[in-house]
Amino acid sequence: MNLDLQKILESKRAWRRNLAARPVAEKLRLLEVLRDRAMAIRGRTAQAERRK
Amino acid sequence: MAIKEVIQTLNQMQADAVIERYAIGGAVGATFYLEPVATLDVNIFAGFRSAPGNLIVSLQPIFDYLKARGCKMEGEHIAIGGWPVQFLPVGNPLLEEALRDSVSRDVDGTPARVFTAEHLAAIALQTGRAKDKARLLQFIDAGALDAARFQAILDRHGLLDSWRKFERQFLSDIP
Repeated sequence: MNLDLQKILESKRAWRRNLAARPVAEKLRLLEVLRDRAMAIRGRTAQAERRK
Repeated sequence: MAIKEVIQTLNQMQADAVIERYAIGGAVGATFYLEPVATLDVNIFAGFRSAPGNLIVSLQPIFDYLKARGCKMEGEHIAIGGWPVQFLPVGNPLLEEALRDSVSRDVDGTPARVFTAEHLAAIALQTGRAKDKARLLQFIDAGALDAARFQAILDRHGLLDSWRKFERQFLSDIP
């Protein structure tokens, strides 16, 4: 396992640059997936809160 | 793609003269320049036609138009293609300029109007919430801004002090 923080940060930056460089239509599709996931998490959190 | 349905609806609203001009802002606008970041809604900035003699801008014609096409109200949003869309008037000179200078981008063959990266970053600085500052950092980190154009916008809209504060707070120890 690599614990070199600088390498990890640079790898994250490279991944973000790679995502940013993708075609707009593809990024907008990813946005929809992210939104669906965020909504699902919110739904589960709300359900858990109601159960408390 | 549901967002494409939002864009097509906006283009049709413009063609039908329900709105004068529109531009996508917020997180969806930023996605045209940066990596996608989760957001729950679409912010649309638009020039509205107010009724003659009425200085208060009403969103009612927009809602009436969209409701007639099967869209449903969800609080302050209206759902288009499953996305909650919020229509926002251009309420200050920076937003007016951002709308005027907005650019057309192709989304799978459909033209979409979006704020420039520099205006999105300046609006984030002006709005100043934590998530706006995070977005501004993303723009800087991604090298997505034309520095001269960004600085000119900040200068025109009295945001240079806010920028210096932001720089001190977040950029002073970037290697």
